[in-house]
Amino acid sequence: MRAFRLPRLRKRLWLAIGALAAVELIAIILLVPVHPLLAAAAGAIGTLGAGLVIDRRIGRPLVATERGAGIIATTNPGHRLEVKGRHWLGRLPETVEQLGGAVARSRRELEEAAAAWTTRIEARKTRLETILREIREGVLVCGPDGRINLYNRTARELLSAEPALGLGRNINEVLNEGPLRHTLRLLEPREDAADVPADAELVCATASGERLLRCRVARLATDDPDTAGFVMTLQDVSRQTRSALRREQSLREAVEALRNPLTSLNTASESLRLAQQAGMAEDVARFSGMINEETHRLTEGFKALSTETMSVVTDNWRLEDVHLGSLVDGIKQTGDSTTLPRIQCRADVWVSAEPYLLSQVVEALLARLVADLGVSAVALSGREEGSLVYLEMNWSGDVIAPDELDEWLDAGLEDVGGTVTLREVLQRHDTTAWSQPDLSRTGRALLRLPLPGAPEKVRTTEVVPARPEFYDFAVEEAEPVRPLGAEAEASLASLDYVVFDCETTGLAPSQGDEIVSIGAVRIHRGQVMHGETFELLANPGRPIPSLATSIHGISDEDIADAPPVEEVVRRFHAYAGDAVLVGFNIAFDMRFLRLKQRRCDVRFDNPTLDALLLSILLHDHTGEHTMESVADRLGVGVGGRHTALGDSLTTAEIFTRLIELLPGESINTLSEAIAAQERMVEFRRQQRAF
Amino acid sequence: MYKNILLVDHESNLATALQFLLGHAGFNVTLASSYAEAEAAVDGMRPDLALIDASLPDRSGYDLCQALLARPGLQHLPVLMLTTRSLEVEREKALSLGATDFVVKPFDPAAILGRVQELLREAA
Repeated sequence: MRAFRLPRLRKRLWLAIGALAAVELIAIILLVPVHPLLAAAAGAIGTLGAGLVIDRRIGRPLVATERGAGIIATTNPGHRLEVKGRHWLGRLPETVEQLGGAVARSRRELEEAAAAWTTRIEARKTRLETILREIREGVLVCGPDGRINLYNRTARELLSAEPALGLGRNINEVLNEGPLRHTLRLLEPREDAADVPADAELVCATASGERLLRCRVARLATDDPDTAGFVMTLQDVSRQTRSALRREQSLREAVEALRNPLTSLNTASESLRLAQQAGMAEDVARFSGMINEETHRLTEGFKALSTETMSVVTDNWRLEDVHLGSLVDGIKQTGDSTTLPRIQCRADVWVSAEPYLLSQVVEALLARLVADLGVSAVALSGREEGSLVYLEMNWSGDVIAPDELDEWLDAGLEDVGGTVTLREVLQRHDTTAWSQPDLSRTGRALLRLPLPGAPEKVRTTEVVPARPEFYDFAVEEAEPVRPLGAEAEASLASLDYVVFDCETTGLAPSQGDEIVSIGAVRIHRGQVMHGETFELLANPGRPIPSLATSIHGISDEDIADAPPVEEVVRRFHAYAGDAVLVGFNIAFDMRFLRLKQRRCDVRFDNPTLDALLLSILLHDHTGEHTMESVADRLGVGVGGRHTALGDSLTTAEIFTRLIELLPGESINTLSEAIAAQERMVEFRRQQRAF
Repeated sequence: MYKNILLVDHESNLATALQFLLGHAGFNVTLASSYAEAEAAVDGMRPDLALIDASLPDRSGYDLCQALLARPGLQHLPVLMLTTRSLEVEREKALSLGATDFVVKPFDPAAILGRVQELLREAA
């Protein structure tokens, strides 16, 4: 009677076995006397049939449940099990999904608890980040081996032409090595520690030679090897240096240009005196003419020298990209509220300006409106028109009389000691200000101040359709990667990766198809570094077929001004460095890159990992391995699909989840992951053969 | 006997006024405004002293200095270089390339006259 209390799964299993046994018994009884061989065949077919039923109803659903449970337990508690059709697992899949829900709830609770603890840490981190962001100089923090541990936004802007910039990369790949090494040696702790300076200054070029930076370097004095290293501030002196050289040259030329007329003047004066004494009327007239001529030359030379002298003062001002709205917000917050009018500001535009002096000018003008015209409220706006941004102050009342405005502009700025007038600041920005009635509203007046605009700060990413999947296993065999060395046994989570994707003119590089775009992002210590992306369009030197454009959306027009493919590949090579390269169906992208190696004089011998192959390896219960389905399975949002950078970012998020799952398959190190991947390649090859 | 002075400078007012002063002091002055003109002038005269501006329009005044000193009979020609560059290295360069002396513009005409007379005395 115990059998009647069996769970449904076991009951069905035993029923199937019982049915099989009964069929086989009947077959044997009926067929053995007639034909023993037929009886045996019937028995075998019966067993096979039962096996198929058991596999379909139990085996396959069980495998899908096991894989799904793995995903739920490790990466995506909300994952829905991919159990298809009827099965005999009863409520097992639902129970596993309920467990997933419970795990998700527990995880949320844990996260909430952790969040409370991390809030304080985050607050400190935010404070540090704010400080770093607000520091006008670039800041870089490096470990003792020169690996970059931290950098701020200004550093990223200053080093924007250096593709190697990134966390975990060596500073020597970003800055000219010699001067920095020399300076660090000066700062090395020695026995006569009293003579070791706390910091030192150097001027060095960036690795690409694009900029000249003044750096101040200080060693981080700590006993903890994890926090040892050095910190450096960076300041761009390229412009100042070029400007200083130009100024020096101009000044020298201006001074030298005075020497000849002065000499001529002296000599002609002396000659005139002698000619007058000798009563040589003709020579007197000749030398008088010369004196007039040389006096004129001297005057012109003096004017040139005077202009150069003026530029010595103003060339030291540094124009930056400034958000006008933020600048006005700063005035509202820090300005003297008793002297300023109520300000309503709509100025979401960028200008190229010396931020401090411009804010002083705006503040001074606002204060004058209050003090001299009794204006109580000003609507301040910024409007782009061509290369200029018009800053407009609008108020209810009369325009400022020209003479009065002249007086305002000729006044000194108090906060800079009154040595610089508003007009000088405006002249430095190649502009002036004027007042006029607001023609659109009676009774209102404007003060208009055109400023040089700054380039657009935000770029939108186009969304284009998908590229077809492409498999190619031959390339990996033909191109050996470099020996792995120490990284072979490093845990996957500790390695640096560069996840990349290429958009191309077609699928056959050997037949002339070319790269039109490369996008990439770094993964450092398991974190996708959204601030360290690489994205460049490349000019393939051939028309982009309309079919390719329909896939990735990049047209001939888009790449007309882009650098050639070779330049983009070289820059990507510098960006990638020694990192492990990761892609989704990476063989496709590697094939394009490797065909360019010789012409670009670079070598892509980095180890590679393929998110597609790893997904197939981990989730063999399903045949769904498109980027969208893998992302969906792992709980990854898909953004910017069909662009090189968008696909790279999605692949990066997928990859970070895959490496969390790999230990479940006893894959912990890079060498193990590569070996498993190679097994998958072999498996796919055999699949293809059939 | 009049001493011959070769004055090479493309600043025409200066050259004319200086020619007048030197002529008034009893010298026979031949003017040239370029390297080529100076070369041609020396073919028809034998200078006792040369006043050469360092920056000539066609070639450097230092080249002319060396070319004159390389001519037969002119190895000991006193050469007074005139220049608008006040750097100390310019003086070193002038003396190294064979010039006897070096004067930075602007100069006092009387001082130049005195220096010319002095150099001619030394050469004699």
